[in-house]
Amino acid sequence: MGQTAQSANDEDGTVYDWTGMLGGIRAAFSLPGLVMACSFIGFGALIHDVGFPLLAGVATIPLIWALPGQVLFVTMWQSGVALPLIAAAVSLTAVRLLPMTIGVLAQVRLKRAARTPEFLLGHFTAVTIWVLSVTSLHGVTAPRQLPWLVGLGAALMGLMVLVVRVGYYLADSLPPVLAAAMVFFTPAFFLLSLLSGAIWRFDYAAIALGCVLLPIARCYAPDFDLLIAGVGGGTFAFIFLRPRRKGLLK
Amino acid sequence: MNQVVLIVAAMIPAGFIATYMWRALAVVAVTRIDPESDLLLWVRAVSTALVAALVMRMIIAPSAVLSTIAVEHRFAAVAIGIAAFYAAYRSTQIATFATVIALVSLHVVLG
Repeated sequence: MGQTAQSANDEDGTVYDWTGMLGGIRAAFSLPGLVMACSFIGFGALIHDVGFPLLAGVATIPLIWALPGQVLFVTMWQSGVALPLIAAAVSLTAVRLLPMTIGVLAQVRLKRAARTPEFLLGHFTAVTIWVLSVTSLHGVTAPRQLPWLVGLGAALMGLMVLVVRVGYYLADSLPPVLAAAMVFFTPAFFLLSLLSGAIWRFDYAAIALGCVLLPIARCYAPDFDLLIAGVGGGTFAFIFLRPRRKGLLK
Repeated sequence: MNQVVLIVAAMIPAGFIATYMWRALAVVAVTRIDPESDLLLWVRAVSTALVAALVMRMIIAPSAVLSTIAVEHRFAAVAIGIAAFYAAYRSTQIATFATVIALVSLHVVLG
């Protein structure tokens, strides 16, 4: 594949090359895929732990496909929180997918191709996909990049549907410390992904404020603790430390 | 089984639509929105703080399984994980494993 042929594709590409999916499927079996699998084993242990039905837990994977939202849905459902509040909290954690999806799409979409595949890739976009789209697409030609990520997303989704059962059934037979270790993958991965995605000072401020405000909000309004800490902490960080130096995203 | 049907029915608006609306909006907006507009920066801050709050809640108000480990060990493991993150040149993967290994080691060694 010569350089001219590739830049011609960049300019004139109107059709995706879906053979690119194969490379993405292969990439699902990688270190980020392994961390994701451990997090989903932990998620399986968590739903067992709180008494959430396994099949409903599995359904969160294709339907929500964003672990923070899945954990919120499960824990809030189990503590009997009203559905509109659950929807609000899940939706607020999912807002982060908006800039993330824009970033991923801006990188891989063909400007003159059909838009439908973008809605498909949008559904697969989450932290791990975003990380791999930044680090692993260098050798992939433009018409293959979107299919590559779709293949990766579909393969990861299929794997996680299997892996979550492992955690669910292991939760009973594992020694308590190891079960706890599995559950701990999720908060650890979330927090470190936040640090890894942080660019500006206000990102770090938002992380710190979210952590600090949660226990305070929990004292006064246990049902709204996440919403108060999230919206309050994020808004404070935005007002006081809004970035002036731009051009760092993308 | 009825319970599963009920939960999945509730999950379609409160899980699927609540999540996918932002992804769909991103697809629609990618041709015209600036990812560094003030609105999106505020959105970024709120969703970051919300996930941080969720992490904090999982640590201080743990599920039954996680409560077998002392709260100071949970916090110490997170601190070690953050240190590992910077020591390992900002590798999320290495630091995640370091956090979990630290948690188990602290519990086993210190009881």
